[in-house]
Amino acid sequence: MTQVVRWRLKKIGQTVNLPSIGVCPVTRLGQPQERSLCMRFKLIAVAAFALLTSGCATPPPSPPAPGSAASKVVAMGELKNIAIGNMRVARENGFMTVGVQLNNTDKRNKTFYYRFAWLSAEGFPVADDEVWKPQLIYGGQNSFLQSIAPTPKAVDFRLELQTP
Amino acid sequence: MFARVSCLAVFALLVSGCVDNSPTLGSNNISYGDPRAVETVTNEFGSTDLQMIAESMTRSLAQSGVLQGRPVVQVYDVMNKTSEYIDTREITTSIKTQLMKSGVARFASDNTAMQSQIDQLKLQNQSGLYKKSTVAKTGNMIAAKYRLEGSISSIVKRSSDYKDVFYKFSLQLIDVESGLAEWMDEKEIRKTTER
Repeated sequence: MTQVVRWRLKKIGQTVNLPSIGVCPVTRLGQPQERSLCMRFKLIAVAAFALLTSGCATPPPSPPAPGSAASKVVAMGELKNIAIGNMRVARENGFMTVGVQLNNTDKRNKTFYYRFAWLSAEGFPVADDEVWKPQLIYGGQNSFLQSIAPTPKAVDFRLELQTP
Repeated sequence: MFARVSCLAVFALLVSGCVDNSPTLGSNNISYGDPRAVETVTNEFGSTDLQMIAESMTRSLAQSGVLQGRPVVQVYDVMNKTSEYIDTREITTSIKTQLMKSGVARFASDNTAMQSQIDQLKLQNQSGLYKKSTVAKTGNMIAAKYRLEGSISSIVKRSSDYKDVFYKFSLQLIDVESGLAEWMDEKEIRKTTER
């Protein structure tokens, strides 16, 4: 059970009460300066402990494998309840066409924003930024995003997604 | 002592935040925004609608394979059948620009630019001011093989809780000689305001 540490800072330089951590020893004469110094050391110890334990937190997920569907998706922040499924890439009449399957894992309807970025073989854009497009996906729906490249020079793409 | 040092550190941090080396001039209540952002200021026809329509129509036409060998296309004005003011010429200008950039078509002078084209030809040929070898000769303009025309309409429904506007933009490519429509597509947009 976590203990709530209640701070009562009267004035800087004076005693800080931390009843949950423990009581600092008081000299026979009850010197307030010694008690204040003891409290400061306890604060520093708590801060150091918090820093150390934060290092034990879950490590960040490994980056997606190059060429996989996940590596083509650039999420602007956390993708809430949108799962990316299969992707289909084809070249029709010289223009790259992409189809991406999306699934709304929530029961509620959701609006998200997306756009495609079209890249050359070196990974640099071959066209101007597209407009952000709003899309409604119903609760539990499996839907498809389809797009065509603006120029035959595009050989790769990225899907930028943002869920508000 | 510790308290005084921490006070000084906090003060120094606050003061350092006031240093501004950004290359801007003017007040902070005006800022540049993203021209590609989704605009939902009102539910009337907006920048996002224009951009989505132009992008969708252009990509569909370019990828359809109808425009083989970079044919010459004449673009006509889009008919505005909605109840609001929409600068439809901007829609066709965006479509022309994107098609030109994709390299699939060339465009003949449309009805707005035709007068300028005629004036320039007359000036070069009839004024006697230009060197004969540099003059553009009359009778050499390339005629359009296709013509591109479209329309935009809207359906507006209102209730006490909702205002719903449904736009439908349709565009078709017609062979000038045969009169046949070789390609057609439409884009639908719904904008709803919840009161």
